[in-house]
Amino acid sequence: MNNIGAWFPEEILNTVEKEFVEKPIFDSAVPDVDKFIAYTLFELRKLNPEKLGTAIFILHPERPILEEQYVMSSSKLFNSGRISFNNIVSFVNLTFTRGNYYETDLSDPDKEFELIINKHKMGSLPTILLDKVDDKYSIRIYPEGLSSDKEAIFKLEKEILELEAIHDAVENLYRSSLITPTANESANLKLWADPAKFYPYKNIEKSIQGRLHSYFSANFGCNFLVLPEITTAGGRLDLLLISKSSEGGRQINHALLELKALRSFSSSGGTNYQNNTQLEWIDKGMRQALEYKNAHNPYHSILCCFDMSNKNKTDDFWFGKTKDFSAEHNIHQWRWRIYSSAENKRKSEIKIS
Amino acid sequence: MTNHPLHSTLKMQSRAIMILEAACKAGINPLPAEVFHNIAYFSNLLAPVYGSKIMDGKVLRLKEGPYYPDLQNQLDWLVLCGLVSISNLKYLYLEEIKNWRLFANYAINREKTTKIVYQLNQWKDESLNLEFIKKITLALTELSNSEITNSNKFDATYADKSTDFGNVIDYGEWVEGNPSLNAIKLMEKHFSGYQISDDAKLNFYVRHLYHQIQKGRTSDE
Repeated sequence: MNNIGAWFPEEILNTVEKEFVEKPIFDSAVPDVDKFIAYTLFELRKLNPEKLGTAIFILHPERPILEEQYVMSSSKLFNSGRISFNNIVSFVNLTFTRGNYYETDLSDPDKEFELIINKHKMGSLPTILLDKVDDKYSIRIYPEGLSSDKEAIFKLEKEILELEAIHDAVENLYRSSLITPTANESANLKLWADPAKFYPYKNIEKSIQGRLHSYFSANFGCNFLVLPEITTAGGRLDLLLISKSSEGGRQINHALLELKALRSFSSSGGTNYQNNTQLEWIDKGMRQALEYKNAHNPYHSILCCFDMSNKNKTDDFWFGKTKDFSAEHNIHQWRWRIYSSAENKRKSEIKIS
Repeated sequence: MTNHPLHSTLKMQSRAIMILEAACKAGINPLPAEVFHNIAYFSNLLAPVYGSKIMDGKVLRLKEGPYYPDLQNQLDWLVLCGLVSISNLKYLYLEEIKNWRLFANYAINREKTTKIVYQLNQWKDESLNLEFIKKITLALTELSNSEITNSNKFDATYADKSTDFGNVIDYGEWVEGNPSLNAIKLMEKHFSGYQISDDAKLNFYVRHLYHQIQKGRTSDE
């Protein structure tokens, strides 16, 4: 074995096995603001609720220069559980490991929001409000800052991950970020190289994986494991949605997700994929899902198709040939139509009605 | 974005700015000199994880931990230029090296360095280096400042007793690979059924370092 210096192999492997299901580890496909949300929720959930009240967390790793009346404290052990997150406004780093804060009365958070926007001039920074009302907690997220209307509400407790919740997670992402180029733009997500020609952007599955990862981490405390890539034209991504069991900390394999974009063209437009080829991708995806299902034994197995093809087709068209396979092996087939323009979406909706 | 080879002095100045910039973004500001040199060490040691070139593939093994005199000189020069501010300055005599050493806290002067950082980002290699240094520095914030300062005592490579104190550890100057990279390869091998991202490898490394520090502390007590 190669020299590993002062470390011991068993200890390294213990750490990795433990850490796989502990604190989230994201890659570059996850936007910074999503990482900030997921890490903050992870750390807050770890803390004793007695240490939690109403508090504001602003993504601002540097110590801000504020007026003298704000007495700033800093902590190199921000997530150690020593600090009571009650009636404080904190300026934290991406991973919630370092922060500066001042104490203030947050019985009316709107008043502090006004100050943050107008006095501190920090209305555009990603902000999280941990709100305690009548002994109940809620977490309000302002990904574009308090000056923006964008808001998402999370529970402090992790949600239970059922099949329906997985569907809802993808559906939420679809509605907010994937459905049209306008939605892509507002989510800072690039799905189309040329929407007018139905040319998709490259590595779409990877971008979708990044957004789903942070969502599952924030809501359910789950991590993704990426399974070995099987080369298919246009790409496919196989993921295992995992978390830690409350008993013994062992790994729970909640779900196998196969993400597949159904493309009519390659990103350069050089290759045109016919329906037969696309249907073959679905067939291969289902067979691969079965292989991974048998290997990892997840509670749920799902093929998630993101339909970017140039013609509107029904679920029956896409999944008709694999319907029996799906039922026999209990592998769900879900599809979301990604429109190349708002106009295409409208036309499609008119046809449906 | 272009490729632009930098002169070695300029390279060290830009490395010092990158570390201070990364520390600022990670929330370690000001940055104590001891933490600065440990970040410099890990930025060299783990650069190959991201396919980056190692700036300095060797370091003197000292009980005090890694220290790069040339990099320190360039940092001091940046202080003189007004690009970096200094506080809590003190000189301490170190018996191990039988010499005096400067200890201080450093903070980047953002007003003056914004354009420099912008320019570094225009050069492909330097931009990749800065991105990597930001990642390793942020990962290291899982440790407190004093833990980062002491982390070398528990690190796979620096704590490896096969090199005595006072001798040079070569982790990339003349030899291929190093114990730390081998440890990361072991992690990868164990999880060969999954694709482990470079970010994950880096974070697993730092988290194992954290566990080693905790364990070391317990056994010392």
